[in-house]
Amino acid sequence: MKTNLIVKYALSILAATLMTSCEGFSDANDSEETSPLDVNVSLNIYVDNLNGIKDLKVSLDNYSEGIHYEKDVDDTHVVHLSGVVPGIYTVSASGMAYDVDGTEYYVNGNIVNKPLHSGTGNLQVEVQGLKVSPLIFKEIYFCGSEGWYFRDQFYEIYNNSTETEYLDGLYFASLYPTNATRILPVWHRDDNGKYVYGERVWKFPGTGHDYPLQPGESAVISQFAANHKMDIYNPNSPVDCSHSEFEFNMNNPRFPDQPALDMVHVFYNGKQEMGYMPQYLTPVFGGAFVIFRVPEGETWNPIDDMSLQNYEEGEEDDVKACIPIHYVLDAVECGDNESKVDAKRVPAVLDAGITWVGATYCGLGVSRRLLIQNGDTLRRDDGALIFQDTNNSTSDFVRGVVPVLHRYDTGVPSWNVTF
Amino acid sequence: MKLKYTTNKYLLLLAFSMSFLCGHSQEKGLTPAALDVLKQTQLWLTTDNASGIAFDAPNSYSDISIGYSKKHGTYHRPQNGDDASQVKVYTEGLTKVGKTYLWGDFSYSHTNVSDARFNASLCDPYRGQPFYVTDEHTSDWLDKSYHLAFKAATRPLGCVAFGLEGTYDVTLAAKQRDPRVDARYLKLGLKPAVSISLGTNDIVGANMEYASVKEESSMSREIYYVDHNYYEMYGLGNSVKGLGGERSTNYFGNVWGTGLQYGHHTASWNVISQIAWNRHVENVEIGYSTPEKEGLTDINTYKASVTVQHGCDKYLHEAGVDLSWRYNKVTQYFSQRDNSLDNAGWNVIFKNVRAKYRSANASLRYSLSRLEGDEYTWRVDADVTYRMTDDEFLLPHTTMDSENLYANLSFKNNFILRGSMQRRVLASVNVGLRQSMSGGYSYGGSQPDLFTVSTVMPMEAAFLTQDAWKAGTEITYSQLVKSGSTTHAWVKGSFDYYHGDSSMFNHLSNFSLTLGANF
Repeated sequence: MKTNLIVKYALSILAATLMTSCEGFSDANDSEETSPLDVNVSLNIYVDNLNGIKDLKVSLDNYSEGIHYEKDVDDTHVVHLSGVVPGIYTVSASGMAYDVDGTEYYVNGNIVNKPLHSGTGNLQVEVQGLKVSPLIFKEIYFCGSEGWYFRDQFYEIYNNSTETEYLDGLYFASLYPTNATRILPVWHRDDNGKYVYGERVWKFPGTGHDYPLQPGESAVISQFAANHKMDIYNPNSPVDCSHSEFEFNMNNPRFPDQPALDMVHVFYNGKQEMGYMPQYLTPVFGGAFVIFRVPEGETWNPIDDMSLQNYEEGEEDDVKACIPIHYVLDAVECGDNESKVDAKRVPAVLDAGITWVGATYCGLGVSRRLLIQNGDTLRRDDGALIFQDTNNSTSDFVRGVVPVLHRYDTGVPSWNVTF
Repeated sequence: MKLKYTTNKYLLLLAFSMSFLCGHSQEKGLTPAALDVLKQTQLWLTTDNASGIAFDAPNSYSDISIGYSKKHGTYHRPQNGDDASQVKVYTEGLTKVGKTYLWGDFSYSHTNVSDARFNASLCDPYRGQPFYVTDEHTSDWLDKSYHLAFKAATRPLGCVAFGLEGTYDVTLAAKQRDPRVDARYLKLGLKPAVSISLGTNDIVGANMEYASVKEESSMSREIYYVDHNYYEMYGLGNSVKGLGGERSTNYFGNVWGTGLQYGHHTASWNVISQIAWNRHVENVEIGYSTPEKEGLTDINTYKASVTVQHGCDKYLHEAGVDLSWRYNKVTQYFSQRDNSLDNAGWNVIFKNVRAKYRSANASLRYSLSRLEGDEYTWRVDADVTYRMTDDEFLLPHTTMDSENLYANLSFKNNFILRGSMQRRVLASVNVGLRQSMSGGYSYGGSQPDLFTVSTVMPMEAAFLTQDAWKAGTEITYSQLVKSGSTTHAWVKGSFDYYHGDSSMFNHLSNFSLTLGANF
């Protein structure tokens, strides 16, 4: 009897060992060699009375492995790419389309984080006329400077349109998750992708027409609007933010209020109060940011309206503000480096890519590209520069540049109180 | 799931005791040269078949030593350090307990490595695992290694003997600079075996092999506000760049294998031959709570060897051939995160064999000993080895290969000093030559400026494709610890110098001093 038990025990151990070891062996046995793929990308172009396309390209980007393919689209609207290395790709289409009247539309479409492997060779991309935002992020400096100094972060908003835009009442928010991560939150209430989630929300001051931004003008919002190159701050900092138009003043006596106008604090953890943070520090790895405006006739009050609050499952003490996607004028997602393109926390409809610096505390930022055609920088009739805005920050931004406020001498608003 | 180190400590203690106590004294004791001869003639001990020891009818012995060694120089593979100092305790013994032959060894080493490069995850970056993390800075490492092995064989039951070999290896390695690494490697192996005597001169044997392999590697930062670039390697320089410094990697796998042996012995001839195969499949996962499958290595190793000894009154000749072939087929997983509450975790979307690594060794060796009693008065060893590596990353197509020829020659002289106490001075000199025949690194991807492509792999290829020579000497003084004792105490000093033909890997000197005793 005892012998039987020992035999059974030994057999059980042997069986368990075999079962645990077999998993790896069976995986190894049925692995097939990687081989280049043939990929067909069909474009569905949604332009009324479409008559033709111009300079329309399809690109496949595997950012983490640094693989890029690009091909022009012909009138069949189908592109065939061969020799594609299997992997996880962002598939993008961007260019021009024109209708029967000859009116040109800037069109784009994309699929992010698309696994391409054997059996996934046919893709369809929906291409639409681009929603062009009048106000865009022009420059973002988030990584801080040598000496682990992070108070010199700033964000620059540019009027990329032909009309005067008023900053009054425009919202600025940093989004959650704070850092780029593949592990996205499980929200307590499923919002079906209607929102992005603001961790802290600010609003530009003004009653409606106090802070106009003319075409070609930009406004800088600094974490702390001082000359950071001064000895008392950080001589290694690349920027003097003392002439910023706005600052995120958190009433920290060690870093007192500067002449720049104060942004109005709107939301943090379900309240209007700022909380105990001594400064408005966004991730030096790169946060995700939006500017948005509440359409006329609608109200947006995430303090009192509980339907505009949500929290991660089990984290009811850490409330975020729900920002409807259709409110968003511009969104830029920043991350550690190219390997985080598949860790997006901003929907592709707002930003199909991410931008990055690739290091922290290196004194470098990201700057939006100028629109260039045939080697010439495009300008409006009034001379205002036009910046590229394809809703893909990977291609729209130049990465790793020394930050400059009002780069390219974009206009400083007349109401800047610091001069 | 953390390794159970408390249990491991007790196992090691047991092992140490076993190997230390397992031998017992020879009647006249064993000089270092006599111990060399004794070990050399126990051919079944060199195979994977523990049961064969019974047919060797071996004499018992034990030895124990403690040594200090220090290396300094640039002639080493890039991921090893420019300096290393090591303290090592080693003990080995063989005896017969009742009807069972027992052999065991145990070692413990503590190594301080300085200025090691390109490794931020593995205890041994050269163990054949292509999925690891590297960083841009040199760093010191502190390594501790424990090794235990035992072989037990029943005395022949008629014409059959049974045996079992067990091995237990643990390495703890800690990187001393951010991003820091705490890496823990464990291998537990068993080889049951049987051998059958075919008459008086011939024995055939067979063995099975199983081993469980595990390594856990946790990367973290001591200085949390400094973020470092690191690179998640997946083969021949192809890597994903990361920023920060936190990652846990879990390696776990199993080895299955088998071997066949044949031995022939007469009064003057002794032959042993072996063919063996094993398959080592190892999984690589990132994280523990919701692990992400990263890769899988599938290593098939084939080995064959023949050793022939011819002994007469004065001389012992030994010639041997060793062949090995290793093929590592590497699968990479592509996963996406499921962020839903019910199924939170990583889903494997697809997997591919992405790389193949092949290597082969072939060596010929010969030794001649001039015997005097149970020891030799002089001994000559010569060997020639051909080593080949042929590594291929399929897409983007990247290759690294090398062919090298090694030749070594050594001469030992055992000076028998006058007087009592069996005093001996065993002195040896050795020279070696390495001739690179071909090799190189070719990257076919789109990131030639990536650190791992532009720096790490070219350095590795440069080392594998350079010529070098070495010269060394070793002196051992031994004597009985007291008159009438059978215990020989000895002290050994050695010095080796390596010279590479490139300025990058130019020289290496290695000094060691060891104290020991043979029972």
